[in-house]
Amino acid sequence: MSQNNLGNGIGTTTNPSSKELLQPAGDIISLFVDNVKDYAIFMIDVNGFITSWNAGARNIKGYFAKEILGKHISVFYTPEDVELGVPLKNLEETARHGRFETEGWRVRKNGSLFWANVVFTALYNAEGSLIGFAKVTRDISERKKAEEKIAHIANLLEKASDAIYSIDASNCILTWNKAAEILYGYTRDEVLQKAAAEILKPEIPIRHGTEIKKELAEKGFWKGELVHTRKDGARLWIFASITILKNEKGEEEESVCICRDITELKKAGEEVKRVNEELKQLNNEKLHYSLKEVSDYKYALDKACIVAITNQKGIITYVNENFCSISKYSEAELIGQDHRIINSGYHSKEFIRRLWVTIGNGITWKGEIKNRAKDGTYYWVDTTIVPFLNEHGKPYQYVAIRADITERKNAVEELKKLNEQLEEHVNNRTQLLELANKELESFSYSVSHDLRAPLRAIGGYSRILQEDYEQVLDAEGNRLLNNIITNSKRMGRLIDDLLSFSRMSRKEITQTDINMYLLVNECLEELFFDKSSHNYTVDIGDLHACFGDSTMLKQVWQNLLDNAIKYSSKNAKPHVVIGSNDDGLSTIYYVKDNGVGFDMKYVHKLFGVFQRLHSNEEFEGTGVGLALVKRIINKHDGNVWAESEPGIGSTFYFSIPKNITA
Amino acid sequence: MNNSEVEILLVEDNMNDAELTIRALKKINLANKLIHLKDGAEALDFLFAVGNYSERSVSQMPRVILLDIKMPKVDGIEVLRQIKAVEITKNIPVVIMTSSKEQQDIINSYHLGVNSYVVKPVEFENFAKAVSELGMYWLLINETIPKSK
Repeated sequence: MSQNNLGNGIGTTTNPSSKELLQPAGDIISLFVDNVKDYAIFMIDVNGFITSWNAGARNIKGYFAKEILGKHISVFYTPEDVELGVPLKNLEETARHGRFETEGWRVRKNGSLFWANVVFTALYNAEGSLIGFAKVTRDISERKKAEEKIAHIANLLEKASDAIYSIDASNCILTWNKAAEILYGYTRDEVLQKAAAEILKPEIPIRHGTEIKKELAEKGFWKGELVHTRKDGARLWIFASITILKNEKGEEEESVCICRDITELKKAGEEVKRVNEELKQLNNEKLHYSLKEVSDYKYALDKACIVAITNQKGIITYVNENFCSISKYSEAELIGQDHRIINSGYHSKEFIRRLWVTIGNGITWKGEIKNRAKDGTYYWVDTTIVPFLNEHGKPYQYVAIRADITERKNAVEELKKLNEQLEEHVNNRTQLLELANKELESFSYSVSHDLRAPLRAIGGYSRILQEDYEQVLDAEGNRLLNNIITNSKRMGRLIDDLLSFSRMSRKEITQTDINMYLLVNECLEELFFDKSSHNYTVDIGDLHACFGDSTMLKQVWQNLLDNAIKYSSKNAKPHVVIGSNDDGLSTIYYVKDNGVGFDMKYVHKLFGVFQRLHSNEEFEGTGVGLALVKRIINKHDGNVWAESEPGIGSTFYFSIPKNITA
Repeated sequence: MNNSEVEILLVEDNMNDAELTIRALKKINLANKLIHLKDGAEALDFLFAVGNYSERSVSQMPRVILLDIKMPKVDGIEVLRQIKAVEITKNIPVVIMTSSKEQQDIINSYHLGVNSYVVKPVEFENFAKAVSELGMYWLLINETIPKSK
């Protein structure tokens, strides 16, 4: 700027005008100059020493005339300028051109700086020789500051991130900053002096536009959201601040708009709003669905079960229809009542206490409860009590869900009663049986005593007859006598067998581990004691140990082995095989002979008392042995059976269950 | 037969059994000093010299008593109890001869101090054999407490 001024100054400066100003003025001019207060006007000699000083100089620079006259002008320059030789250069410049104007920092007496506009004028005498210089200095610090401020503000406006532009009263665009170019896509040159509405193409609803105008007119200021259009046609959401600037007459001169792009924000806001709406919709649907589901569940529960809710003290707060119908109380009669209203008194205090302890601890209780209806009848319910817990984990209410099991319970009771009756029947029968057994025992006693004695007498007297009168009787008499003796002996054996069979039936079994091999050998030794003459072959195979009554099982072996020997006695080479097998649950023992055998069609008669498949003439026997075997094996929970073929031999089997507990 | 010389006292209500017993003993000559009484009551009268036997001297006791259990009036078990309960008779060997194999009879007898318990065999041969062996044992083999002077 100063350069321009210098240039301009050079262009307009004329030496003659300066001379004219000085010469005709004389003393009056001198007086005028002295009293000018806003301009420092002083003169200096050709070397730069000060020769005159006016009031303005004193005001601006702070020196009195007497202080400064004779001093060099260098004192007004900054040390940096002095260093550069600026003072002399200024004078040289002036001498060369006659006039020199400059601006720059100058120093006051007190050392403070001010921005000065300085005009040097070369002074010539009549001969045209340089005699000195006139210097006029103005303090233009304020103007300088203002200019800087404006430049600064213009810079700020230019660099602002918000679009800033101004519009004149006729709606034409006056200014347009960089940010506005970026925001709207128009360069400054494209928009200046153009109608704003054409460029910005605002979408403003009529009502909204009216409001803006009204507010601007009233307050000179409006801010709010607007929709503008970019050069490329895109919609722009703008947050605008509009300020009306008026001239000193109060007329609207221009309006300044500061606009911020809020399109993204707006879009994001719209999105948030949309998502929120969707979410709300979704939540509503979900909530609706959940509520429906809950109410469906409740409906199902109410239909299916007897439901009651009590508070933590057992006071009824809810009952469903089923509850009312089974308890025969109305809902009004139940709500607010202690749940004990339906207590039957059937259950022990301990039972009730344990129930409360369980649910009091927040644990679901399940069980069967007998309740009492209003009419005094009882009903049974299968009950589940669920404690509902508060945020501290303490029950605040109990939901009791029940099912009517009265019929089942009654059936069970009935069954129990029937069972008791049955048991009574059984006891009665058992008593009768025991009585019968007692009678049988005394009968046996009688038989053993009373039948034996006469039998002994028959046998005895027959023997006496035989001994003492054998010679007297003829052959037929002796044969008949023999028959009597034989039959009485046979009857004796029958009675003995029968008695031992009946004793066995009454005997309790005493089970121990038995070495069957030793038991069988013992029996064989006893049996062959009398039969040593026979040429018997006896093979004893593997014989598993067993758990049973050794006395009884010895009788089993005795009978089976005795039979095997007896019925194979007519074979030239009698052979008996003894052994055992294991079927997992039981041990199966067998005795096999190569004797006469029997027809399997009579096998069902084999184990009956007094049942015989052979005549007494063929093989002696009472028909009690196998019956006894069967009874003993049955007492061991085992089975006995036989296989046979006439002329080939028989095999008798018996099974004894294994001792599971051992 | 002189009561004072009784060696065997047979207490048996069944006449047949008594006859067969006596016959068996006779065969081995042990029936000479035998007395047969038909029930328990009579046996007790005899032993304690009361009733019909009040004139008998209690110092003369049989060397062995063959006692049936099942008898009218007083049964053999009661007779045994009384014999073993009294000082003068308790040392006389008592042999129960019975048809009963009932366990309770056997247990009771031994509890009361019976010296032998024999079940009468039904078959005559075995019966005769048992009786003769009994007679031989108690009269010839077994030693009793010597009689007081």
